[in-house]
This record gives sequence, C-alpha cells and structure tokens, in this order.
Amino acid sequence: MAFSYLNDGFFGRLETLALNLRSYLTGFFGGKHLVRTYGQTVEFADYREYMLGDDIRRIDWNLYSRFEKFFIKLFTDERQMHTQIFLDCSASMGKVSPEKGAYAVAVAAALGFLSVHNMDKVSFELTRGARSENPFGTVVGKQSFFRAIKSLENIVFEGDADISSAVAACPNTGTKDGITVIISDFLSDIDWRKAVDYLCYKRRQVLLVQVLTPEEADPLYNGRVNLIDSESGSLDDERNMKMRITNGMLAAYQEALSDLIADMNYYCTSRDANFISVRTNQPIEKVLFGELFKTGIMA
Amino acid sequence: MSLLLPLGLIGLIGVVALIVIYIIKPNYQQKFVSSTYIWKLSLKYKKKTLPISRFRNILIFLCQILILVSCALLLARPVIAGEKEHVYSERVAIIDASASMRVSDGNATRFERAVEEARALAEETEELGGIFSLIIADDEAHFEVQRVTAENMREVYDAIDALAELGAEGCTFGSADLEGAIDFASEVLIVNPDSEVILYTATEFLEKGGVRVVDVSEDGEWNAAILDSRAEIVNNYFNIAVDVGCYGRSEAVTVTCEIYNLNGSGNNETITMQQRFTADENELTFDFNEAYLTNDCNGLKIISFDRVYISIDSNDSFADDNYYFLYGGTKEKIKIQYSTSDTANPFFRQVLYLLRENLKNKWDIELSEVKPGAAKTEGFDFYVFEHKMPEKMPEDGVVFLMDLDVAPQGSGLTLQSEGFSVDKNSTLASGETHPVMRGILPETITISNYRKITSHDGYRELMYFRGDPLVLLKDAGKTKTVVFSADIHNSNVAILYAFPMFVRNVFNYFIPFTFTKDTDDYTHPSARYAFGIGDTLELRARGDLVNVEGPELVEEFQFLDGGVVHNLALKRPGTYTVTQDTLRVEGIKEEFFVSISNYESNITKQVDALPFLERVVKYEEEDKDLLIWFASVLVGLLFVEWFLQSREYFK
Repeated sequence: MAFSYLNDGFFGRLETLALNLRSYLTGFFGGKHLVRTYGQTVEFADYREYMLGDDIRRIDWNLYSRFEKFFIKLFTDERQMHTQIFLDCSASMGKVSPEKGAYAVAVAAALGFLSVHNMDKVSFELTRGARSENPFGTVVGKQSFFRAIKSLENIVFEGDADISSAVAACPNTGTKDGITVIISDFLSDIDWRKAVDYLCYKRRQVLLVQVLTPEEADPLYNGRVNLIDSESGSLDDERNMKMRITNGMLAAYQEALSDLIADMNYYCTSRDANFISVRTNQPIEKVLFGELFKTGIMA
Repeated sequence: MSLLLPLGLIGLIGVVALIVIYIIKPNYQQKFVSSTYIWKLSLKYKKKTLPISRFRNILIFLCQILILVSCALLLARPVIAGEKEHVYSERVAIIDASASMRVSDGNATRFERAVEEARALAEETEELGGIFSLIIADDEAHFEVQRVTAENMREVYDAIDALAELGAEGCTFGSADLEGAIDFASEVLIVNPDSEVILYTATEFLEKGGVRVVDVSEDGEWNAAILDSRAEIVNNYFNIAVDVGCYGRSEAVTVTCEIYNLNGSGNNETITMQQRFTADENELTFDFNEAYLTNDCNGLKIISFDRVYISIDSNDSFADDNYYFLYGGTKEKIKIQYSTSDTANPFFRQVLYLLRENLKNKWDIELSEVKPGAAKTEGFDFYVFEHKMPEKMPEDGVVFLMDLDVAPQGSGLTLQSEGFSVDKNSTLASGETHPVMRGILPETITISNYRKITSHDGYRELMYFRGDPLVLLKDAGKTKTVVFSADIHNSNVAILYAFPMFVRNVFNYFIPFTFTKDTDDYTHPSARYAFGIGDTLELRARGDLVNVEGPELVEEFQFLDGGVVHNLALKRPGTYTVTQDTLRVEGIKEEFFVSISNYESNITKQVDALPFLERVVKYEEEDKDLLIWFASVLVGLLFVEWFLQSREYFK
C-alpha cells in the first residue's frame, strides 16, 4: 500500500483516548467498561439484605450492629467490550484512490487500537462480496494488534462488497457486547440500512464511517466523459456511464451527495446509531479527535 | 471585393483540418472513478436544459470555421474598389441668401455662418492654388466674384468681408434663386469641368444633383410664424383666421389680434388665443370664429375695422414673420347717381344693381336714383344721365351720358337736332381698341334710332353706326366721360350681356382698385390687401398721381394717360401705404401688407431636389483596404466562440 498513516506517532497520540459505550454490556470477560450488573470490583455500588446462599464474607457488620439485620455490600462490575470493525474492501475503496483505502485502514486501526489499549477485544471483518472474513481472529492485546495491523496495511481493495449481507452472515456478531464500526464509502446501491437494522437488533452500538476522497465530494472534471466504475468488470458494464458533465450536472451531483449523507445521518440517528462522513484530505486526527468526539463514542 | 494575395486562401486548409479534427476527436474521455453511484443519483436532480444548448456545439463549430475563413481572408489581403476622393482645382461656392438664412441662433445668422464657411473654402482653395467663384443666390442669383485665381484672392476676401459686414441684410426676404445660381455654376463647369460646386444652405435637399451641400443650420433654431391671415364674413360679421406654423420645436404659441377702430367706434379691441404645436402638428389655424368671439370675447361682433395687428409672442430665431397686418375691414364708399327721365328703366337700373353686387367686395357702392330735376352735378364719383342731360358737366366724377337730348355745357359735344330712325337690323361697327370694349362685339348690337354727334373734340370713337360715332370716351385730366348716343329702348343692347359688361368696363376703367395681384381670385375681403414677398403689384389710379410708402420705400407714380398700370415688385415685408387724389376726394389712403412667404418661414424644410447640375463626373478608383473590417469580424467571432465555449458546461 503506497499510502500509510500508521506509525508510532499516530498510535502514541491515541493512547490517552478510549471508546465510550453508551449501553450496558453483557459478557463474560472483565474489562474496563462499567456494566449494570454487580460484580467483584472494589468500587461500592449498593447494599442489599442478605439472602440464603450469599457469601457471608460480604456481610457488612457495621450495618448489622445498627439494624440487627444482615446486609451485604454490592460492588460494580466491568466487562470487556467487543469492537467489531467491518472494513469495505471493495475496489471503490482503494483501486482508484489508494489514499482512500489507507485512510479507511487508518481509521480502522485507530479504533482497533483504542479497543486493545483499553483491554477490549477487536476483530477486523474484511468485507468482500457478500461475505466478510476475519483473518486475524479476535485480537486482544497490543502485540497481536500490531501484527494484525501490519497485515491490514497490505490488503488489496478489489471487487465489490455487500455490507448488509456480510454483516448478516458474520458468525461472530455477538449480542449486546460492544460496538460495530462499518467503514465504507457507501457509494453503491447495496442497502446498508439492513446492516444497521440487524446490528441494532443485536443491540450493538453502531458507527458508520463514510470515507470519501475530495474528488468524490467535489468532482473537478467536466465535459464529455465516460465514467468507468472501479468495481465494473468491463467497459460494457452497466455501472459505467457516458455523460456530458456541465455545471448543472455538477450541481446535481453535489445535491445528490448531500442528500445521501443527510439520509444516512437521519437514518442512523433514528436508530441511535452514529454516522460520520470524512474526507481523505482531512487530517485523520481531526476525524478522531473531532468527529468521533462529537458523536460521543470517543472519550 | 478582390484579393491582393490570393495565396492567403491556402489558409482555408485550416477549415479542412478543423473538420478532420472534429471527426477524429474522441467524443468521450475515459475517467476512472471509485463509483458512479452518485452520478446515477444526480441524473434525477438534473434540471432541464434550454433548447439553445443543443445548438451550442453547432454554433461553436460554425464560429471556428468562420474564424479560420476570416484568418485566411486576412492573409489574402481583401480590398474593395472605391471612389478616390478627388481634389478639385476650382471651387464654386453658392450661398443661399433666402429669407430663411436670416435665422439666428443668437450669435450669428445662418447667412453669416455661410459666409464664414465660404471664407474658409476660399482660403483652402488659395492654399491649393485653385480658382474660386462665389455666387449669391438671393432673389436673383449673381456672381459676387467669378473665377478668381489664387494670386488675386484678395478680391474674394474683400467681397466676403463686404458680405460679412452686411450680415443678415445680405439676404433677401424672398426665396433664393437657386436655379439661376446653378446655371451660373454650370457656366463655370463648362469652362473648367474639374470644379466643385458647394452650396451653403440650411435647406435639406434629398437629391443634391451633383452639388456638395453644406448645412449651416444650428441645433436649437426654431421659428414660430404667421403664415397667413383672413378676415372672412360669416353671417354678416367678420371672423378672423390666422394660420400659424411652428418649426423646429414643440411650443405653445399665443396669437394676439389688436383690432383698430372696431366697428367705426374709434375703440380698439385685443383678443388672444393659445395653442400648442407638436412635431406632427406644426401648422395650425387660430380661428377667431363666431363661437370663439361669442364665448371667449364677451360676444364680440366685428362689423368693420381699420386694420388688425396680429402678432405672436415668441423669442424664436426668425422675427420677421412674427406679425401681420390685416386690412380690408372697411370698404371705401363710391357714390353713383343715376338720373333718368324715364319713370322706370329696368334695363339700366338692373345693370347698376348688378354692378353694385358684382363689386361689393371692392367697394361700398351707394346708388342714388334721381329725376333729372333733382340731379346734382357734384358730390358723386359716377354720374349716369339718361335722356335728360344736365345743363353743365359735373367735374368731380366720371360721367356716363346715355341718349343725349342736348349736349351739356362743357362736354365738348355737338349733336344733330333730330335723331335718325334706321332699319332695326342695322348693327354697330368697332372703333378704337380700348379696355372698356373688352368682351363686347359691336356687330351683335343693333339699333333703330340714334342721335348723330356732329363734333366730339377730344373723344375717342369706340363704336360707329354707319360711319357715325355712336359710343365715345374721353379721359383727359378731370374729364372722364362716356357717351352712348342712342336710347337703350331702341336697341337690342339691353338684352345682351354686352351692355352690363360695357358699364362694368367703364366703371373699372375709371374707378379701378388701386392695387391688385396677378390673380383675381379673392376669396375673402382682406385677400386684396395681402401680398407676399416677390409678388408684383399692379398699381392703378383714379387720379394722376400715386404715392407709395413702405419699408425702405417712398415712390411716386404718375398716371397721365388713362388705363396706365405700374408694376411694383414687393421685396420687403411690412405695411405699404398708397396715397392718391381722386376727382372727388383728396388724399385717399389705402394700405396693404406684404408678408414673408410660408416657404421661407418653414426653416426646417426638406426639398426633393436641387436643380440638376450638368457636369461630367470623373471617377478615380482606388483600393480600399478591408483588413480592419475583417479583423473586427475576427475579434467578434473569437469573442463569440469564447463565450459559447465558456457557456458549454454552464448548464
């Protein structure tokens, strides 16, 4: 990959940050994310009357002296979060604009780093066609994370990707155990709404990150142009377009793109999901420390 | 159009190259994009384009072809054959000196500007070493200087200085004799065909006839003018109509009429009217008619007047036509006495009535019919004695003696004692040719009885009967006598038109209207007193002497012989007073007004053509470069092409 944002300085700036989960988790492994249930941490949460079977070591004798009743102390519980990152590996993400793919990988790596840095587990689902593959398994700990990242930098963006099918077909989606991030340009007629709905059904927190190049946001070409879609197989592919691009067409393009982003934003908001749209010419720090902070995912 | 370098058309190969480029040019450029998804979505947002955009590419292509053609033509150096401006060796300047050249813009008159233009032309001619002539086209064109060479140009400058000193007075009040001026210019052209004729005028000529016309008018010149005026009798009262023109400006003009000695009362009356003139309606009639006089002038009724001074209040560029005098409001009284011994002679009476009716526009004829015993021999202008003659001849009027019974004392006639009875079919014979015999054929008149005149000292014999003089006329000094030596009852003359005509001729001969025009078409009473500049006045007299006073004119005319007519050319506008003594009254004054012609009052006039100037025009051709035009077209096309290109992706 010609472009790479990943280096020590990049990760060093992320060490002070953490992902913030809005909903309570369920899970087995301890982590750093407070959950609604009571656990074995040292942080006091509440009292409750002793019940048969409770550990007598947790009886608060000071209260017994005052009320002559047995009360036991309850403590908060913290669980490990599972960060699942679906990375669109279709040709549209990197074939024409390698910096776009690098940017998407950098975003994925940043979010992954935040997870492993906070003792969460992360999995990278590389979406190609209607399926996603997880070549690195569930990554826990920085050592295995960096190993995975090194491989991520070398992925090839090709073919197309069906986000909805890939998410639905993912065997390790989990339920109510973390956050799912989908990184894509969403420039296809695949219905990404199904993916969002599915993940919401699975009670996962959802974040959609749309990565666009400046030329996609504001095309600089005009005139008679044969537009070749990077995901098209041949020149005769129906996704290719012959058109005469005028100022009017450019205005229509801007309007269509704005409507698409607004639609995604509205849909995600209505499902308590988060959506950000970033440009590759924006510094990635601005995305992480700006856009993600705004959503509340990063704290 | 021709091409100096036809090889430049090789540049047209560029057109072929352009067409080839259009043919082989890829229609669409390939562009790899991440996704066409948004472009497909944007098709729904695309606004409808204007139909013109469909033709834009064709227009661009056309522009490009035309640009290449223009470039090729520029290389080929296109020229067009044109007439070379010829420098003439001799100049003939004609200055229009008509009344309209008196128009002034406040600083100088048109005539003065024309003189200065002529001076500049003379200086230019002197520099070229040419010959110069100057013609003044006033009412009779004339050479001011003729064919003066450059060495003698001082003569020209002296003449121009004299004209400049005259100023507007160098112009006539009439029209310019342009025909005569062109004739003079033609004379110069015959001698030297290489001459240019320049006319300095303010009149616009649509067809200039080979003359270079220089307009000397200035912006802002305008003229409000009284074109004509009439005092017309309607329902026995005078209405006053004033034709006014306003040229060169839309303006409200007020016309004021001051009526002097209204209805013989000695009082004066002033009436006014205002109307607005526009460019389309620049000539209007101010009609002080019966309705206007009744409603707006407190029921003013005009029966008679001495004169009406009509004026317009304006500060226009030409003042000489801003006033007008109207005369003819009071007719002079002519007294006629008809003395007859007949109890009723309807023949003669009707003739006199007819005469009165016929001349009612000229004279106020008072006819008195008396019996011989009551007949007077003084106090009348015209005496008619029938059958019974007076003892002595009247000396203060014209005497008509009909069927004399005796010869009155002082008549110079001697009659035979008895009348002759002759065959009733006997006709008269002509005598001397005389104005009173106009229209009368003596051979149609028969008589059956007459009194032979045996002597008639100083009389002219106008008609004879069998060698005897029957009708005589004497016009010598104060004796103005006509004799008809037969009874009207013994002749067929009473039923012929010849008799009333004869009486009318006698009356007009001895009591003529003092001034008349060439025409006899008098449509209203005041028409006899209205003349125009350039009119020729025919002056007649009832006495021996007539004095005429007018603007810069005092002249005396003698009328020693009867029927004499003097002609007087009217050259200046204003009122003219004619004074004469008649047999009965001394010092009779009559006035008439001379006005500027309407043609000259119209200072913005347009004339179809100048008199054609016979000349042989030498054409010299020269190539006129068209580079600047083609370059302009090229720049224009480049601009259009750039504009179309810039708009191509606009929609």
